[in-house]
Amino acid sequence: MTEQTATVEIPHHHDETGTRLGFWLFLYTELFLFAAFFLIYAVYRSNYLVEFRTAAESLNTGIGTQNTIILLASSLTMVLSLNALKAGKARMAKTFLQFTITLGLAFLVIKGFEWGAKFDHHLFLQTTKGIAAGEGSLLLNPSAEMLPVGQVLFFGLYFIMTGTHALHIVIGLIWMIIVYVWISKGSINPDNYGTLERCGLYWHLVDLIWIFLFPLYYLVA
Amino acid sequence: MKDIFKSINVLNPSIVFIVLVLLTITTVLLSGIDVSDSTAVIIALAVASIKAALVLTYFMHLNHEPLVFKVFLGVAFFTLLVIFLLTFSDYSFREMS
Repeated sequence: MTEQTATVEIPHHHDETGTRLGFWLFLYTELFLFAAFFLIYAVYRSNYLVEFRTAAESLNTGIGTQNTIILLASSLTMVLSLNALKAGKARMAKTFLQFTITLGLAFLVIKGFEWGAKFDHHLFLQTTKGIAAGEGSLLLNPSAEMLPVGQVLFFGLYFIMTGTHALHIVIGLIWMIIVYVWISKGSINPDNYGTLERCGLYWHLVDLIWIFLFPLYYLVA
Repeated sequence: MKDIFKSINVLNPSIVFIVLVLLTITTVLLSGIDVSDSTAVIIALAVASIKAALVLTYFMHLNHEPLVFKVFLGVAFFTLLVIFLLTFSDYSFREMS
């Protein structure tokens, strides 16, 4: 037996499926974050059913539907962007990514107007403490009209849940802009599209969460 | 142009998108029907679940992923189910002040 010493060059190993699986795990943590909100919503809704239904009537179903379709469309353009890159068409992938970013921005702008209307009606940051003390939203308008506790809870949850969702949209938009630059530079290319794929998965998750937010806030009034 | 569309597979995702939009319109129309609250919630959540399944399967490509991805999804949903059931088995028997 002679001892052999040989240097074996191990090629850089990149496990794309493993990376994707890890990313899915991250997505589940996001899912559980929102699941906690949905759980709180479900419990309070069962306790304050009448108030929740009354409060939900003040949300505009038309705007909600419009935003749902915008997000669904952005998911479609995201899929097409990835398909284009996989097919070696980087320029087309960038065009579809531009569409996705534009649609995401449109969602935020519409949401912003919607929130603005709620601010005007002093529905933001109403506190139960204010109600007990005979005062309205202390932070915005001391003379605001009083709401029953159930409605305060509804609007509190509405702002927290749609706000957290909007925050995810903002993160997704920033990520897409970075990916866009990387495609331009060529570091994301038809042979290395994993980053765009994961960005897409994240964006679809944001869409997925909205699919459940939409009926619970805009439809069951 | 037709070749490009064929090579990047525009048709299938577009069909999924159209179905998703139709389901959205359906759920909005269904919400106008006067039914009991629990029925309305069940209908709304059922349609949302179908939409979610479509997004997961076709947009997030779970249909092309190995089995372990689906097992992960199953475990996540089962955990969620347990959390919701346990919470409600508690809250349903509480006296709320």
